Amino acid sequence: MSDSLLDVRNLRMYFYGSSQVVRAVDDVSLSVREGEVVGIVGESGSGKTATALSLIRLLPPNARIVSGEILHKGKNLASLEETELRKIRGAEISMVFQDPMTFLDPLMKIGDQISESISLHQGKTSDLKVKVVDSLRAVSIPSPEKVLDYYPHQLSGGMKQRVLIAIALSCEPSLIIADEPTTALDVTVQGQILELLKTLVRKRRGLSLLLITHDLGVVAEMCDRVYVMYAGKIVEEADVSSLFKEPKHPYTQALLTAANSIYFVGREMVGIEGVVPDLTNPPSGCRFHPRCQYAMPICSEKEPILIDIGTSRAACWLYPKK
Amino acid sequence: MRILAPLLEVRAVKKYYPLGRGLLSISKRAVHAVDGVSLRLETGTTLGLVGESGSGKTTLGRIIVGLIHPTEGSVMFEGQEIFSLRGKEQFSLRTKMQIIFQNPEASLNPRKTVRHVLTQPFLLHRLATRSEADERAYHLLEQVKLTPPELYLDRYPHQLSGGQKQRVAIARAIALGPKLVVADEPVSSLDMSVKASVLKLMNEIQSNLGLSYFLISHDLYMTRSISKIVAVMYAGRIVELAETDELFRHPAHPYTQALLASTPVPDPAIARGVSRNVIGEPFSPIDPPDYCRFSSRCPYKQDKCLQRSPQLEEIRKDHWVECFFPL
Repeated sequence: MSDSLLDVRNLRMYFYGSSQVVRAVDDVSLSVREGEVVGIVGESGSGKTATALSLIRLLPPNARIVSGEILHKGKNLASLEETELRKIRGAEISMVFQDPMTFLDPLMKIGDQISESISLHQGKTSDLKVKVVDSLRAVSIPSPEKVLDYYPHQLSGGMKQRVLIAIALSCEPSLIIADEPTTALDVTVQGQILELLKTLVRKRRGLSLLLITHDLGVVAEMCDRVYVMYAGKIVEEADVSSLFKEPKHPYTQALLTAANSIYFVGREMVGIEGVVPDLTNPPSGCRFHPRCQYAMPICSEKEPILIDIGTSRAACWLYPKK
Repeated sequence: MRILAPLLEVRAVKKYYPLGRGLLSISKRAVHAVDGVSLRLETGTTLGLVGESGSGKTTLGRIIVGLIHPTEGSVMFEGQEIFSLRGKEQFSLRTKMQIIFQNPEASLNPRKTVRHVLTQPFLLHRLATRSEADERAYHLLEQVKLTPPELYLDRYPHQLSGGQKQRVAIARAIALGPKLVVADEPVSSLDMSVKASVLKLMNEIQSNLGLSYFLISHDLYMTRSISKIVAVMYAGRIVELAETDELFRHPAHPYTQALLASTPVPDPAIARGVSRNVIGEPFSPIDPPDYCRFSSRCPYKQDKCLQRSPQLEEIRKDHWVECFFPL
């Protein structure tokens, strides 16, 4: 795909413990095109956050990108020097985290936290304050001139999340990675933040959004294209309407059935039996096979690869290879 | 004499937390966590209490099981005011009402095995010998579908998944055959696939044991799947109360409508068409205004809403709304 803004190929990122290796991201390939909202959906432990953090190499010391490429505008972020990467991180690709309370410095005024990021990447220009006010206005914070002098504790959760988005936007990035941006917020505030993110992507040319979430509702509302992750692997890729209309992978199907049984009346409640596997020692073959209702002998023997099924792609032995 | 009283009746309960407890502070300011709530719950049914953070729902839940004393008002359980009970009576009340907390990580002692957690209720209340209690624990695990039980009895909480931990917490809550279980966000820390199975389990337990749930949640849709009646709480007050179907079909309070419209539904065909009209954020719970508390966010507010506080009124049979201009 030539119009890809971000192209991730066969990425592997492992965590190294004292005696074990956690294969958190295991051969993941994905792409984000210009102006696109792409979702990575999965349950806790599926590796979706680990994938997001790997993309800008925001990783703890015991984590290592073992192999693969992260191509962004002609550069491979996986092998880029740290000094070079810093110019991209926060400027070209920025991040919005789940919990706004922990990602703002409680002792620093809002205005300073935003200008820090701008001056770091663009130098101390004379119109710095104007830029800061503009970025607050862009995320619909009322009376931005006043909010500049606030400390984080003077803002509500929703307002703090808006500030984080303002920081992420401040250097006019081409890609924002948002990791569960609304999970810590109340429903009505969540709606406002989702609305804001949607408007931003629509309005700003060249801005793409990679949205990490566990919530299929958020996916349905926000995303153009979706990757479903399970146990460190992508098991399905589809455009949003195909994903919900005709989920291909049994895991996607089971997730949707579970969500629908809660959200729509009159359906019998169905969960998925079993637990997410331990990634130090994942199941052989297809990692979902111990929980899969369609499991066949081959599923535990050989690992399925992603193949085209209509407009979707899924990694499952149910679908015959052409 | 037959008891005609409902299983649980909450009467005009208020809980205020005064601010500034310093020596020189004479401030009368207070956080109005719960501000005049009345509710009834019949045997064998589920009441879902829905509200966002800070609405006072958890405080109310804890008042109901007697963990917090209200500033005003009373809680009647089987016709008895629970805060008047002392000593033995108060202790035995615990066998009839129990609570499941949101986070099983925090509500299970990390140093105690599942066996310990599940035998303690019987031993504390002197209802069984140790070996009988062991057997009861075994059956409890079967009831919450942690089978075979011998696989789980000697595990510590860290050896269980989130869903399994919450099942242990449920088993502990139903151990002594309570009539009422207050469940405070029982599934919100769980993954979607696990959520559905835990809710299903709660439904099964209810039909097997005939107990009542007071289910606290921030998620209106989740509440629907399990509740007979839903109460919507906002800023310390109940703003709407109705049978579940009625509430979903004819939401009458602007806040209820906003909640329904704000929840992202897992279907792109529906989710994309939703328009939202709720702006802003709630008033501070410190000395809230003496007019409608939702007025700061209400798209339909009128002058009257800024002058007086509406009261809960029955707009249709069994459908109560606290709004001057119900929709």
